[in-house]
Amino acid sequence: MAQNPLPYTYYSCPCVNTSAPVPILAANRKHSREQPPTDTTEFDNEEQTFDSRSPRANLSLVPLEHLLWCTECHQMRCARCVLEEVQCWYCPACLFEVPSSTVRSEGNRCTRSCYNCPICTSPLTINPMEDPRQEDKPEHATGPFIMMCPWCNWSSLDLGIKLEKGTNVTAQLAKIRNGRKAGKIQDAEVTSPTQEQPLSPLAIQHSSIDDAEAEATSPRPDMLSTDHDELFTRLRNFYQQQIVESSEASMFGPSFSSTDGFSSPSAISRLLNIYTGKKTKRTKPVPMREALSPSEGLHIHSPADDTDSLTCLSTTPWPDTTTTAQRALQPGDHAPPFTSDLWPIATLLRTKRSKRCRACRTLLARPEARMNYRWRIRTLALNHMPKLTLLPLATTTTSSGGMPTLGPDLGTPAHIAQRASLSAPLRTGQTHTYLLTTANPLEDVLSVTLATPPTTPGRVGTRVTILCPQFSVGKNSDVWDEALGAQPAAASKRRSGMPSGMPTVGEDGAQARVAEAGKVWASGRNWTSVVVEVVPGMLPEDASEEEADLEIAVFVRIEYETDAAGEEKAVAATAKEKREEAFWCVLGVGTIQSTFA
Amino acid sequence: MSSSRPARKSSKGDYIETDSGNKVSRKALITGTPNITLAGRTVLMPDVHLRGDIVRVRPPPPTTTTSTTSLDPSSAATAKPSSSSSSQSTTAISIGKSTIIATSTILRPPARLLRGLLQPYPLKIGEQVLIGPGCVVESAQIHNHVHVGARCVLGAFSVLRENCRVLEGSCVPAGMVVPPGAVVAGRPARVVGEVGEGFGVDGVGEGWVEGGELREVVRGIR
Repeated sequence: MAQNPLPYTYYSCPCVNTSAPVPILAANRKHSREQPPTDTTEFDNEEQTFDSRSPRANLSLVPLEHLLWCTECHQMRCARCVLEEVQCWYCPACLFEVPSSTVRSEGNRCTRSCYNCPICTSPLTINPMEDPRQEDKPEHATGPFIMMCPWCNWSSLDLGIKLEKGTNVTAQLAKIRNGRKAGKIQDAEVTSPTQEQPLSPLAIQHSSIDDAEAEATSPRPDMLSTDHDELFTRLRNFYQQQIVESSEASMFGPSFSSTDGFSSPSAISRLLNIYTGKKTKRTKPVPMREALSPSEGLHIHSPADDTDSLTCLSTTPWPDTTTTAQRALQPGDHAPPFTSDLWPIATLLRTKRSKRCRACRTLLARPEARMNYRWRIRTLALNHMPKLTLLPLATTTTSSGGMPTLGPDLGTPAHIAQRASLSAPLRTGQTHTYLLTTANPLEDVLSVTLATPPTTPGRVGTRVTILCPQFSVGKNSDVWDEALGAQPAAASKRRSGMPSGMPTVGEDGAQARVAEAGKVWASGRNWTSVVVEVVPGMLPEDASEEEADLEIAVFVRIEYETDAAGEEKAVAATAKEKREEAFWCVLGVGTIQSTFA
Repeated sequence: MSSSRPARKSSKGDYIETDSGNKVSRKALITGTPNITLAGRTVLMPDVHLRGDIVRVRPPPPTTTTSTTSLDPSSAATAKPSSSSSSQSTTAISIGKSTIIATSTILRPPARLLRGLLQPYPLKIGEQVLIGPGCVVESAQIHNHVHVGARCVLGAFSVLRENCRVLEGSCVPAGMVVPPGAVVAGRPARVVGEVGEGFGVDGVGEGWVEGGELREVVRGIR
C-alpha cells in the first residue's frame, strides 16, 4: 500500500461498485466493533461508508495522476475500467521499435543484442576480450567478444561462450546453443563446451553427469532427444496427424478447428457438401490416441535423472543453486538447478498503449508513435477533479499565502525535519490536527461537501472530525489573471477573518491560531484548506501492521455550474449547466504507535 | 533571466545567483569550473560535488596518464596550448534549465578505458530534472523531467530517458537505459512500473508535482 511516502491520497474509482455492489457492506459487518454510520450528512444515510481496508477497495484505490477522465461519461477511469490497445512494441534497452509482425513471429523479446544478466537481471554489456590497456589497438575492437554484467561480474565465459562479433548476439547465441545440444545428443564422446573450460568444480561435476546421462541412454538414440523443442515438434506432428485422421472420419467433426483451416481442398469440398445439403451418413469419430513411441514424441521419465540431480544438489553449495526467480526468468522450460547453467536472458519488449473508456470507447490516452514520452491525446482526471492533500498543520509552511504543499525532499536540515515529522508515529488519544487542502483545476467555482465516518472502520476506531465540511473553492482562473491581480484577489478571498499578512502557517503561527468549527483555515485563488482533527484509537495487542496504518476515507461531493457547451469554449454559451460529482478518496495519515511495544 | 525579481545581494545569502538565475550554494564543491555549463535557473545545493575536472585531455599525451585540470587558473598560463584546445569543445558536465541538484550529490563524468587510456565522457543533464540528496551520478545522459529520489546511484554510462522516475535508494547499473516514462527501483535497478499518465502534470497550477516544472521550487530556494 505504501507505494507513495506519507502523506498520500488515493481516489476510489467508481468501477469497484459496478461489478459487485455488496461486498463493502459484507466486509464491514465482519468487524466486531462496527458501528452503524451516524454521520449527519445525507450521503451516509443513503449508502454505506467506504472501508479502505476491505480487500475489494484495494483494487480501486489509485493515485490521482494514474487516473484518466472520460469526457463523455464524466467519470474517472482507472486501469481496471479502460481498454488498452498496443500502439507499438519497443525494447527498453536499445529503444528500438519492433514491428508487431516481428513480435508475432519472433516473440516478445529483443532479437538484437540486448541481454540481461541471468543472475541479477541488469543489462549485459558486450566487450571485446582483449586487454583494454593495450595502446596500439585498432579503432574498432575485433573479437572475440564476451557478455559481461557490470553489476555482479557474471560473464558469458561462465558458460564458455565467446562471440565472434559484437552485433547480432541473438543469432550467435542460438547457434551456440543449438550446436551444444546437437553435440550432446548426437555424439556423447565429444566433450561439451563446459568441459573445455572448467571454471568451477561444479561445472565439471555437472557436465560429467550430463555425459553419464547420455551414456546411459545411448543405446536408444530416439530416447536421447530430451530436448524440449524437438519433443514439441514431434508431439505436434503426431497430434496434427491424429486430428487429420479423426476429422477424415467425421464429416462435421473437429476438422474446421484443425490447423488446415478452411483453405485446404478437403475442407472446401466438405463445406460444399454441407451447403448442397446432401446429408451423408455421419460416421462415428475414431477416438484419438496418445503418443506411443519416442518418434511420436513420447518421453518416458527415467528415475535415474532424479537421483542424479539429487546427488548433484546435495554436493552443491547453496549459492551455486538457482533461485526461483532466476529459474522463472529463463526462457522456455529451461530451468536449470545450478547457476553455472543459466543462460543470458533476452530483454523483454515493452509496449506503448493507448487507452479507451470501457463504457463508451472514447479514446482517453494515446501516446505518440515515436520513442518519447509525449501524448497525442490525454484526458487526465487531475484536470477535472479536485486535488486533495492532507498535511500536518504543524509542519505546513506556506510561503506568503501560497497553497500548503509538500515540496521535494532536497536534503536540507529543514527538509529532513519535515520528513521526520511526517513519518512520526501517531499517539493514541492525542489530538492531531491536519490541513486538508482541496485544489480546483476547473474553471468554475466548486462547492465542496466533505464527509467522513466519525470513527474509522475496524478495531482501532480512530475519531476523525472535519471542522468545516462545506466550503467553496475558487475557480482555476487564467494564468494572466493570477499574474495581474493575484495579491488583491487572494487577500480579499480570505474568509478566515485573519489579517491578510497572517496566513503563514508556520511553527509559531500554528500555536497562535485556533481552528474553529465551520470556518475554513485558509484559501487562495483556487484552493481552500480546512482543518481535520484526528484522535487515533487504541491499537489492539495483536494488531497487524496494516491496522496500525491510519487511513481516512473521505466522501467528496462537488457541485458546480459550467457552460452547457462544456468543452467548446469558442461558442459563447450563456446557458449554465449544473453538474454534480461524488467520489470516495482515502487519505494516508500515518502510523499509530503501539502502546504495547 | 526574469528581471522582475530584484537583484539579490550576493554577499549575504547561502547561494550565489548568477545573471542567468543559476543558484550555486557557497558550500558546493566545484572543480574544473570552465568545463561545466549551467543553462540557467539551475540550483546546486550545499555539499554538491561537481567533478568538472574529469575531462578528456586533447591531444592525448602518450606518456602522462594523469588527467590534469588544464583550466585551473594557475596552470592555464603554463599549459597554454592544451587550455586553448580544450576551451573549444570540452564540456565535462552540462546541466539544463531549472534543474535541481540536491544536497550532498556527486556528479562525476563517466570514464572508460580506451586504447590504454581512461577516457572521460561528458555528463549531460536535461531540463527540469530533480536529483535527490545523497546521490552519486555517473550517467552519460539524463533527459528532461526526470525525478531521481534520494540516495540513488546512477552507474557509469547509464541513460535516463525523459519522464522516468528512479525511486529512493536505487542503484541503476552501469550502462542501463531507462526507457521514457518508466519507474525503476531496486539494487540493481529494474523497471518496476510505469509512471501515471498524469506524471508531471500540475492541473491545479499550485505547488510542485513530481516530474513537473521546477521553476517555483527554484524560486523558493534561497
